[in-house]
Amino acid sequence: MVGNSNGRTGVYGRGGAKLLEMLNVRMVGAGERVVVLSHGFGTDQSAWSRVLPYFLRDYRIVLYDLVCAGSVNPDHFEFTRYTTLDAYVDDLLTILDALGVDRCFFVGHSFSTMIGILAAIRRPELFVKLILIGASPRFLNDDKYHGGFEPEEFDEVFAAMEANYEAWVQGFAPLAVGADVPAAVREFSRTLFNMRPDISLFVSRMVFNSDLRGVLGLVTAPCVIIQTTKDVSVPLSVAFYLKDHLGGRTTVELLPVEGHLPHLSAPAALVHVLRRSLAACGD
Amino acid sequence: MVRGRGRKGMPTPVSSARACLAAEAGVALDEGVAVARRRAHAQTTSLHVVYALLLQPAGGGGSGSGAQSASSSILRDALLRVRSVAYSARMQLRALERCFGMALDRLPSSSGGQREGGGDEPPVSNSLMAAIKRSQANQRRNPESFHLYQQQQQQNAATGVVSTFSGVKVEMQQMVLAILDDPIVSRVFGDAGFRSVDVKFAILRPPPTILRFPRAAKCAPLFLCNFSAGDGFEAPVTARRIAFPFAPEVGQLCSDGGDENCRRIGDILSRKGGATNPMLIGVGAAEAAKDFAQAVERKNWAILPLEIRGIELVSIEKLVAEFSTGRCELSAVDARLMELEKEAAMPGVVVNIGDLKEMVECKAECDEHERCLISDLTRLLEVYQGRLWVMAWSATYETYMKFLSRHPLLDKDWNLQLLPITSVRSGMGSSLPRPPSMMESFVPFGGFFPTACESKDIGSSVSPPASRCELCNDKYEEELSILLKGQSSSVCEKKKDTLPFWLQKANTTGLNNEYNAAQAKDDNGLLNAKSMELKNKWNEVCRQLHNCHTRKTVNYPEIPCTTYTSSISYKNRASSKVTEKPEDSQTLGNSLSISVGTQTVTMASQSISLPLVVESRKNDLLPKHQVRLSKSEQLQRVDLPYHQGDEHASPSSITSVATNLVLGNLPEPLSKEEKPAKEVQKSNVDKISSCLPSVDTAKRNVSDVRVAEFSCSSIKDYQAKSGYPVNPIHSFSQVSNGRASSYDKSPLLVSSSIMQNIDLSSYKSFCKSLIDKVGRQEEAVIAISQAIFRCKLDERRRGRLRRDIWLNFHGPDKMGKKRVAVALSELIHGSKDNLICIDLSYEDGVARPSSICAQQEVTEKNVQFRGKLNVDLIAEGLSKRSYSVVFLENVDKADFLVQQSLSQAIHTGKFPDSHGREFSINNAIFILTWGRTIDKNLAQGGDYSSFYEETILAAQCWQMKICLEACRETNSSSPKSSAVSFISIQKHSTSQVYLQSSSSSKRKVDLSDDCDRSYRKSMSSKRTHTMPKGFLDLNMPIEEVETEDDHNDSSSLKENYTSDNSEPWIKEFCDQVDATVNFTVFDFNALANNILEAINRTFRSTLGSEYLLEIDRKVMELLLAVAWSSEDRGPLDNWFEQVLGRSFRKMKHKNSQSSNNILKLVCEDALVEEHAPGVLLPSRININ
Repeated sequence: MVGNSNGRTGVYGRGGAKLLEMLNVRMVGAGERVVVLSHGFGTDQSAWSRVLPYFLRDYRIVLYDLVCAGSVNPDHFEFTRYTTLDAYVDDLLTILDALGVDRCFFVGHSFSTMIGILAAIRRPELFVKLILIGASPRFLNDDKYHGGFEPEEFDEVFAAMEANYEAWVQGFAPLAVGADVPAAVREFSRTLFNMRPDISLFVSRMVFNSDLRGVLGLVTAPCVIIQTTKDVSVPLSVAFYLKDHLGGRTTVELLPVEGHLPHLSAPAALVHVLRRSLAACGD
Repeated sequence: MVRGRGRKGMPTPVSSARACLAAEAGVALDEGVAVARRRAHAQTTSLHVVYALLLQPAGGGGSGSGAQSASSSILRDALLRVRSVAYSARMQLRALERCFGMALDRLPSSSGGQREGGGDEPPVSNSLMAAIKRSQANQRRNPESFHLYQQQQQQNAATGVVSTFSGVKVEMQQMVLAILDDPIVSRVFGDAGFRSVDVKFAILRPPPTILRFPRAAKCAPLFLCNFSAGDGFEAPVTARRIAFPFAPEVGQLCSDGGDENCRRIGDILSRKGGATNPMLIGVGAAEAAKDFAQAVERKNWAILPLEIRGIELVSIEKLVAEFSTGRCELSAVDARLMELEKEAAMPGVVVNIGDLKEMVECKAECDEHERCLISDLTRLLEVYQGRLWVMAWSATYETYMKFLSRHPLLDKDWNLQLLPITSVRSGMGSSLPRPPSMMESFVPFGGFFPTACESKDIGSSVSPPASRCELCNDKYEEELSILLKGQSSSVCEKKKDTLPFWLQKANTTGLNNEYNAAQAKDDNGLLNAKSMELKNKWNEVCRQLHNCHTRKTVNYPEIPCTTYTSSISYKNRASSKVTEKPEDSQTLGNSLSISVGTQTVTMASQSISLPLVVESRKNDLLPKHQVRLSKSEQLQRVDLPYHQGDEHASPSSITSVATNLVLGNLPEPLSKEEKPAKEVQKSNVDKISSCLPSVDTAKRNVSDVRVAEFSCSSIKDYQAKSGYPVNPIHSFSQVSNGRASSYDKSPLLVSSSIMQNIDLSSYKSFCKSLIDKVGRQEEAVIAISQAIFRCKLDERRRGRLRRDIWLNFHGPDKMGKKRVAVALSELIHGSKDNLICIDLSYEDGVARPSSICAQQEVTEKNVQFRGKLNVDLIAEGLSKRSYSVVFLENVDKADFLVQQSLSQAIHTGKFPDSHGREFSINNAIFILTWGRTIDKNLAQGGDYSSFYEETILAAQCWQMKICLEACRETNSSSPKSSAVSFISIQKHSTSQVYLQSSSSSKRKVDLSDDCDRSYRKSMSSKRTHTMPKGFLDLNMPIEEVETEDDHNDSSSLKENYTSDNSEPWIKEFCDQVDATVNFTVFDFNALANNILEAINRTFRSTLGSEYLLEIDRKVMELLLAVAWSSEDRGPLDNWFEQVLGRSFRKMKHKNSQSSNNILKLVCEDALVEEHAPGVLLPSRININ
């Protein structure tokens, strides 16, 4: 029976242990307090590698890959399951439970910030603080809200992704990185290209179809929004929208750098803010 | 050659190679094998396969099946399209065939009658096998083949074949592509005038037009997918072709996520106790509620948990809506509730209240009704606990809170469970790129089943397996696949069996024209219904037999907690040897394991280097060294995978690490076994001295040793680069070039005498050449020379075998310090390239100041530095050149990692990077500068007319202009006043050029950097690309909101942060450096005078004596910055002559008849766009 290695596991029945292995969960560092680093779209946990060393002394860091990351066996990506963010939240919570974490900081980037917000709504007691890098509750514009993307633009992006994924990656990576940092562009291109194109497309559709605006008030944990001064994916106004609507005490930190991926392009600048955000919380 | 390859390992038997291939590719291989057999070759190589492919349509027509000829045409067709126009297609193909034939002729035929393993068939050569493996891996990565792979697995499962073979069956196209990569093949292609790259590209690319290949069954189908978008084939298809097999259903599935939401609602409802009544919140909540209602209405139980199947949904939305209109009739509500009471006797009822907004916004007079309803519901919920549920939704959190505030504690009374709904469908309506018509034929159940194409996966993926245990699931899947097989009369299905997956989309589009789409729909519908039935059956079976509920969590094992090197206190030397599981480091992309053993490097390399210095021709040592090097090469190869994906690992860094590992073979770590190690060294020295008598004299004469060491370092450096030992004399001459020339000594003389008579009075000469090179700060330079020689003498001050030198440079004159660093690296290590220069005060990515002094430092490679951590930059530099001068500026601003690494380096002699890899600093000189002391600077330069380093450092390269000013009274007196205020003018009373005195400046009199800063700020806000100030200000109001325990101002915080543990660290660290050298204030006034003089010369020669030139202070600062920061004055003097002189001439020409005779050289409010060659000054000066 086990020999039937078609790669598909029971969707809801997979235990924590299995998930830990699947999503390459790692726990590193020597500190007491637990920090979960959750990467964003198009990257994997390696995106944190430049930031990570700064926290190993003082924190225990949980690293994991989102199921859509290129570093995860694509067989594990179930198209029927990961149709909403909740499935990702399930994964995160399962991981934390499996690790026996009962209190942690959450540091999320890009679409992981959505996951963090939802996880904190579902399990408020679990999260000391949310640190959200390049966060957005909704990427599409509407009458009263500027999310940064018109639906048509979004169609274009998808058309481009479908037409030629590699070309899209080549074009998108420098745009997302924003700053003129070749190393970061290379790194982001690598991880982005590692994602299987169909998964990448599927996930970005899912993300663009998500709208967290109605639920932000349910968050009770304090939040820190880390926003760079120029981010192709997230306009500055979104940071303030989040600040106004998140339920917990929320601070906005503006990084004087550009790009959607400060942990790749300007790690040192980000580290300052991260450390401060982590340290500012008393417990 | 081929045989040579083959010999390395056993060639693969044909049968096992064939097992990796799909049908067509297998046939192609067989053809290749046949060719090899006919020619009696020992092995089947890529050449054979290609040859067979080329022959097939023409020669082997009889043997090939239809599919086969189509497949072989991949190559032929591609060749036809890439061939050059000069020859006819047939000619060139013929030529190609012949070339391959000749290549095959050259292959040796098998000597014996029978080959080794393969019986009758020549086994597959390693290179061909490698190509197959490559294509296999490639195909596995591709989504379309991923699906094929899935299919194959399913089929295996269906037929009950337990296949141990887990690989992918390589398709023809992939195999051909991989074979083309084979160098032997591409060479033959090259002979025939084809570039295999072109051929590959042609294979990947569709034919240019359809018309050229009208419905050609041979090749068209392969590329059909590319035409699906109409213009799709225009798009460049790159080497890794990517299709979107899931794209259609991706849109369909993702756009709602409705099933997922329903499932979640169901999960809440089916809970035992606790909060069981879902309250949907979020923009998509309305849709989710509707989806759920639909699911219940249509009895779509598959997506709901077992417990609640069969429930009913009663909506009182309308009733509630009537509240808000004010026409609320209590009787209606009552009646409905009565019904509810009755209905509650059934399996279960969910009361859907609907949008809370209706409740919240209802008018005051209806409050009572609302209360009534709520309390009735509360009562009912209590009575029919477990069988009655309430659900409601709200688009926003605020509405829900309002609702709660009207009915406090209702969330507890009703056991409400908040369910954030985040997926939105509406936004996507327009954004589905695919035409819906195509989807319809595929997706009969409106997204419930992904598509017919994926229908084989239905069993495992679509339904929630929560309802079945694994055993039943397997059984179910088995039956399902049987069902699906029986269903193969369906159009899609039939196609699917014969075509690769990625073709199906395109094919069915075409088919839609011919077949009635409804027909297909029906077929699929039937299929889906059947599979549904099947699923339900097995769900039921499973429920009854196994009573499984797979959501139970298994006990979680602990994850190993990895400790990092950097987290270990640097004081604990012994423990800095961290052993880590290789797989750990692999997964994170770190290579921590490499640090193992490096502890011993210092000692080991020292013991090797010494003999090399003294006697490089010592034969018994040299071969040894070479052996080790080659060993290290091997290691390097082994280590490579660990470095993959690591940006910081340059090839050379790998080399150095690997070398360290080898050298580190000496068994004892330094700290543990000091004594034996000492003995080893001693015995080494003894050995050497016994071999080389002159060492004794050298030892007696201290200076000799120093020189020897200098030369040694360069030798080793060279060796490190080239990998083999070199003649020390040669390299010494390199080093001593500068010095020798300054003494007008021929390098030859120096080098020839070096081994015997090393008396060069090296200290003096070193000191002198250093002073020559630096050109200022003599005292400091002397102190530095002394410190360095003292360190060289006192080798053991840091423990044995440590030769790193740590110097602190204190005081002003940033550029002077830099110059010293450059000079040291040139003098000691032979070249400026060995200087590693990093300013630790910059946060990477943050816009660096655009001042002249900063720009002077910026080189091209700074772009490569971006995004890297300072600690890694230093480590990278050290790994590339172990003989280096590391010049670190503003060490007080060092981040935590750099602090740690520096501390560890000064303690242990190893500099760890952020991944914990350690690099030897054994031969490095660390020069550390500390924050600029502004106060001191100001105090010293009390005179307001003098220039301060701060302002010079901040000077930016403004555009300049010369304007003519009427001989007004104030100005006419200004020459005198400036003569008073400026020493320079006093000295050179004849000068017509003078500096605008501060008192007459239009700007603030106070020239403290305060003023300057505000000026700069106002400037920078005008320019978009330097933004820090403007945006940091934005921070203020946000931060203010924070309470006191948090921080109010980000800048103060930053200081807080850096100082949280910096102070003690700085103190501790400064105590350990070898020497601290104080620099004195740079005399900018003298330099200013110098510049004025130079300008004066130009001015006088061009404009004559009747003019005066007043130079704005800003201009002077700019010029000073340039003069101060650039190494030689040439470009600046050039600029005076060329640019400035030209401007003066123009001015003269323009104003020949004007009586105005005072010119002003001032700055404009714009940065220079075009620099003059070689100097950061404007290429022209505006005139008006």
